[in-house]
Amino acid sequence: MQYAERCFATEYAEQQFFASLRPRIERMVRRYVHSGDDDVEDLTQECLIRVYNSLEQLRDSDKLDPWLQALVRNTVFTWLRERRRELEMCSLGLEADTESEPYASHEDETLLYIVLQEVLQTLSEEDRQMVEMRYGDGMRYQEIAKVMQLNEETVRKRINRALAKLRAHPIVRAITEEAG
Amino acid sequence: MNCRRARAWMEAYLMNDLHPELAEQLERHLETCRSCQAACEELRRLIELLRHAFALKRQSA
Repeated sequence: MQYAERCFATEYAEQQFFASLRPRIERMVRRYVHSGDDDVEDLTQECLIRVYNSLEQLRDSDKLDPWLQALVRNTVFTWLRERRRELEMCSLGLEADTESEPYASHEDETLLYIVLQEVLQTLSEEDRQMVEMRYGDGMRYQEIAKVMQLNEETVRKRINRALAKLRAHPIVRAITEEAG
Repeated sequence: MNCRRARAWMEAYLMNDLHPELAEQLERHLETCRSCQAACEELRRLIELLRHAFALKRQSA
């Protein structure tokens, strides 16, 4: 039996479920969006509609939280992309200096930061440390190898594997492809 | 240098952590391989993002 069927024996139960979901979704949206309450409210509403339309696809109630997080993230990201496209359309003909920045807005930056933190959490502790030494501290393979007591080739391979994992994330991929 | 080796050394090249001889071979490969050029550009952006993300992390710590 699907999650939605189990949850909503009555219309009242359904209303209660969506009422309880609203503040949770709003909190998630606020992690990404700092441009104002109107945007947060619109996006929360949009997410609720998406939940309503796709809740049937959720089969496992234990997966509600990650499912919701992914839904909110995708909704916010779609909105950011559309908004950026609109801004670009408005500024057509004006000179824009975006070459030095891989992303355009504070929202994008926040979203990206959160996504990267999430993806980094999927790496082992050792790999995460190596990635941070490499890109946070700018250390060379040789230096990382010394700290981690591994050989250089192992460090290089593990960092490359970690990068491939990061690159495979749909949002990271979309941002790096879009920036080009 | 073939594509497989080029991809394996790309990260070190972008981080200026590649032996000059290998860097030269990779550059020669990049001059002629559009697919590796695109992969290199995408990787360069990812590295920029990571550097920026860690800088933000440290700012907010």
